[in-house]
Amino acid sequence: MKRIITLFFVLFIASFSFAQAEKDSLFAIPSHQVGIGLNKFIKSVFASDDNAMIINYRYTGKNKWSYRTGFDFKKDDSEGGFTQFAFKLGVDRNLKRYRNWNFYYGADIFTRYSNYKNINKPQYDNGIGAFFGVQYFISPHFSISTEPMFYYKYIYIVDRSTFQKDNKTGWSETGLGKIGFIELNFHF
Amino acid sequence: MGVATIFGIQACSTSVEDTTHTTSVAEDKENIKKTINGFYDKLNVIDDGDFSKYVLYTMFNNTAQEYDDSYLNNVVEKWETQFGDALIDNKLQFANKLGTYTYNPVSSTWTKVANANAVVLKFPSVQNQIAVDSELTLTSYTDIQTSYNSETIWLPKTFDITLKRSGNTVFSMKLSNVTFDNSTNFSMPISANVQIYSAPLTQNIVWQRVTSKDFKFTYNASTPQGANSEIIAQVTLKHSDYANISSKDDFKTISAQITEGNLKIVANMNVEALAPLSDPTDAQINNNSKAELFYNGQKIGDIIYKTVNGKGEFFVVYFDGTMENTDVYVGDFEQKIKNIFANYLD
Repeated sequence: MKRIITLFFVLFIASFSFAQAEKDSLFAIPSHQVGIGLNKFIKSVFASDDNAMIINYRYTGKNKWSYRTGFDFKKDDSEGGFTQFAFKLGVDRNLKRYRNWNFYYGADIFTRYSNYKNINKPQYDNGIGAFFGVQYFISPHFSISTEPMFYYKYIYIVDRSTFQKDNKTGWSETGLGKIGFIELNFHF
Repeated sequence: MGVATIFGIQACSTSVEDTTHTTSVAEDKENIKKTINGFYDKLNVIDDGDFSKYVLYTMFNNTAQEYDDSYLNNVVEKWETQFGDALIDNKLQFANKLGTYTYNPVSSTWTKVANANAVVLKFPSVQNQIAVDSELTLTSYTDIQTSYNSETIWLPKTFDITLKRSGNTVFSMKLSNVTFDNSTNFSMPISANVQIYSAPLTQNIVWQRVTSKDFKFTYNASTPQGANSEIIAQVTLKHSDYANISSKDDFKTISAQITEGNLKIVANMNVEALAPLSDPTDAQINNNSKAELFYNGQKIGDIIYKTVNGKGEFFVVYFDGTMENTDVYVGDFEQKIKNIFANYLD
């Protein structure tokens, strides 16, 4: 684990030095961006978040607008296993570009299905979130970003086999999300 | 498209299962009561059984009819004084103590004759009794070296122990198939079979490791005339580092099936989801657990958790959606047990 963390920071610092050499020229950002949460690589160092997706895609057109999607999937067939599927759609607008820094804001709608096999009470999260994105380009093809988000989501759970007249339990949740959640992005 | 699919799935999943229910809720309630009363009847049979009579005769045989094992302790101490400690360095000295030993209540001494296969202790059941009517036999004893907190302990791997009074077996216990995983500095038992007979109750306990993270416990108890009682519990761990299992965070799920006659409770709990919550709400508990009640294989109720006046209680939701506190069935459980085993507890 220590080796992975050390390697990551060496790579980061080396890339930072390389990027400094190019600081005065605003390189063109490729249109396509694929991002993965760093938490998926090093769980003990980087924060996880309930509203984050494992893989994200962002397309930037010729204007300042970008279109985004993301998904998450996990299926564990064992006794007590867990199935999860999540999907999001969103849009963001570039606010400011400064050297290797890029700032943007936007909104996502997202939905998530999760279910423990032995309990069989599917949970559905449907939400919307407004975020502010901060992105740092390590090189023209690699960046790290974070998107603190203010979200609202409605969660409901359905028990299909219960005798209770109301087989749904639902509640809403509002808060700040994805705080400290860092994504590693590849641009092409 | 994707969003539409997901919302479509959500809409479909709100439908309630169409179940054919062959009994009325009143009948279901009656069946639950009947089963619980049958359980109390069984406890009464156990309380009146030969094993219970033996315990009362040997250890409650004083004027106050209170627990007193001083006579039996005294008899055992005399045996150890004559023949040495039975347990040395956490190991039972079975092979060194083979023989048939008889206690003489007049001289308060034991005599020994050779026995190549068993340790047999014969003694009067109570103090001031001349007749030697109790006989304790231990055979087939083998053990295995284990370690707990750096201490070496020899735990039994197999044994067969029988207690008779006047030739009738009142208690027996047989241990077999005991194995341990010693890959960590904690000896994790991965299988064990125990059969216990305490007249007239026969109990079977089976502990087995299904996979490196899954363990199954099965307990079965029956009397000649009573209904069968069974508990099957399955524990799934998050890891197989047994030496470092220290809290609920190390557990993934726990499931249990509790059967009494024709009544069965099937329960599952996602400990993994509940463990991080310091003070889970009723909704969080119910959403991460499921408990259902069956009679003759037909589901007759859900069991849900509710906080009432600051106290957590369980409710049964019947087929018609009506709800009842489980206290109507088991509210007097403690008192019933006290009444049944009054000879021991009063």
